[in-house]
Amino acid sequence: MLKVLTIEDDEIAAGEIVNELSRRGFSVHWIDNGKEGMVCALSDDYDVITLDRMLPGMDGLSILTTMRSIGVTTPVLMLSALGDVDERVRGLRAGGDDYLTKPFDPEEMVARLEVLLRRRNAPMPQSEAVLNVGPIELDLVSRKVRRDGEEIALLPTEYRVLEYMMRHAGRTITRTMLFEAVWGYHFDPGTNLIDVHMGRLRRKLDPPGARAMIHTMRGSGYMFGEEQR
Amino acid sequence: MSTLSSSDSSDASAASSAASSRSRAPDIGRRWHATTFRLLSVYGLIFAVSVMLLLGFMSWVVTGEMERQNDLVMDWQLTYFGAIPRAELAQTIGHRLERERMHAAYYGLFRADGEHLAGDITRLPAGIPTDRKGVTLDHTLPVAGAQTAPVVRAMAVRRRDGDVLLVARDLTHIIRIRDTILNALLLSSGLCLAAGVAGGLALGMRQMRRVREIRRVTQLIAQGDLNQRLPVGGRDELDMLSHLVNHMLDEVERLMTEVKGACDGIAHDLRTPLAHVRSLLAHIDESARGASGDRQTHVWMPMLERARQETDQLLDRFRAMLRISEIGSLKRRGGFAEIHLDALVRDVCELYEPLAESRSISLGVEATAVQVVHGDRALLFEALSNLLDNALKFTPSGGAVCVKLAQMRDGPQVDVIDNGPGIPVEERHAVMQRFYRGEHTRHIAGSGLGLGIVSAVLRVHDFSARIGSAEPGTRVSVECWPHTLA
Repeated sequence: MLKVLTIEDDEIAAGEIVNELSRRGFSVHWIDNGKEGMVCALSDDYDVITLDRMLPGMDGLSILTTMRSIGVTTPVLMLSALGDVDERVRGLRAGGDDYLTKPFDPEEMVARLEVLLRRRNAPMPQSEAVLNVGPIELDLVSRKVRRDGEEIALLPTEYRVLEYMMRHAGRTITRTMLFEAVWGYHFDPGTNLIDVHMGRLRRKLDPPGARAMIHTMRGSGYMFGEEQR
Repeated sequence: MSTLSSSDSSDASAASSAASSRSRAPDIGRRWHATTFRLLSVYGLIFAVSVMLLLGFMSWVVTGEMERQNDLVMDWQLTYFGAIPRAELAQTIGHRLERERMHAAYYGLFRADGEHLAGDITRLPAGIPTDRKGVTLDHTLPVAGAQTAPVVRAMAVRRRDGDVLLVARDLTHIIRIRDTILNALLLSSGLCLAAGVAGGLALGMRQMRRVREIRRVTQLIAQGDLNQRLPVGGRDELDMLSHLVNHMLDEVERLMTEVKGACDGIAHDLRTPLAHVRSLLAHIDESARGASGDRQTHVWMPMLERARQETDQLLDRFRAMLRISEIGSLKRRGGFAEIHLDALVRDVCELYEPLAESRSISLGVEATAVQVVHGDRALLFEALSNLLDNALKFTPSGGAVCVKLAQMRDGPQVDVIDNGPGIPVEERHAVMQRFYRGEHTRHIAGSGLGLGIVSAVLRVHDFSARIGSAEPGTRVSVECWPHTLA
């Protein structure tokens, strides 16, 4: 069972995180203060950590910095009410792996945690030249995409979307995650915008009658893979 | 939304007060200079006129006194000569002339027909009164043995026997003394005036420097930096005013912080339960989907779907509100870099091209290479995408939206042009305000905050946007150059 450490002083927020994660089969350890949190975080006993930025008596950033300075590589998802760009940059520079602004959609949080976990447990080999998911093959060198050996012409943006989705195949990918990863911006572009991009990719990738590879997860985002979970 | 103003060739009334106040700003300095110099020159003129009047008065008084004194002496002399019989008169005059070799006085005795009888005045000047009235003769009195006729004060009397006796006293020395004194006074007045003007100028410069500083600080404050305070250094009127303004700023800042805190707090606090409602709805939806497809499910499902959409919309609005406040409180110019707008414009259009296609709207891009601007790429991208999103939202299916980037005289300008219904002139200013929705567009989904974000971003950059008409449709022009003079 995957172990999550949640360092969060706000009881309601913590309750929500614990509920959501337990529901999805994680074992969650909740710590409500910075000191204990620091001790647990340094133990390197967990698969992933959610870290509140503002804790009584301690800045979440200092826990993060300490962890990284002694070589603990547990992925950290920063949760913060401070949403502006500067804060995000500071959080990520200090060694955070992802940053989510409170209040957040629990599904968004889970989706991001799963991406972090996958990155840790099955690190993507850098030398990998071809991604294969079901009938889809994506050549990272020639930037060519094939379905059942038949080449599909994609625009650069569509290619980047597909690459990101294939790298995270089988996981829920929220629209925000996709927008951040593919376009690199951190504002909310609106549901429709990402949907039409996905619609285009889907028309090219999933011809009528063929098995769908891109699935829409109601209320949260998309998933790439042969089977819907 | 102070960075935004609506304007149109056919419409001046929609121009915001902010824009007009900005256009007034540049000539304050010039006017202030003019004021100071006008004051100084008026002051100098008054001083000069007063000095002239004073000198004139002095000259008049001194001359009058001088003439009166001479007249008195000459009156006595005439009385003295009057007492001397005619036979001795010529001789007496001769004696006097012998004694007074310094040429301080001149005498002349003439017969009634003007023939010279005695004395060193050789001819009786024409028109001279013979009733003991003093007159000043300016170089017209012919005197024997003198190179030029002197300036004299003369007095004549007709004796009982018909002869005319003329007495004159030389004024040359006394006039020279008078003129020397007047010249000295004139010169020193000139020096006083010069010193006064220089002093006034120096003091004026000091005030101007202070006013310039106050202007700079005021502009910073107008740009949103409420931490700034006017400089206070002494106890004069400017300092008193600065004190008052600073006090007012303290209050404004306190109130702003309170209001902003309250707004953010409300938005934040409401967002959390809303997010909970949303995820609850998602769970209900999920479990209902799993249940057998009986009639109830068919009734509930659309309602659930509606409820989710509504909560999503509410969340969007809160997110946008917090975003606006976030952008507003960004440290200015923190993440600024050199930006190539043509690439940025193409990126935004590429992002929105599928959305335009899905609505059968043709999206055109005309991006020429323009000068590099200094700005935050992410924020400008966000602003442009909001503008484009809006244009696409309000353009009917089959319409056209065009994004144009062109180099203007002051800097690059981005135009987002659509051929939708257009924005009525009277609504152009209001659309830039938070939550405003046009009368005819209420049915279209959206937070009503898109342009609010645009305004916030432009304010951080000191850029400006204008809403105009594209006949038909709307043209939003983003002017990418500084609009306040720092």
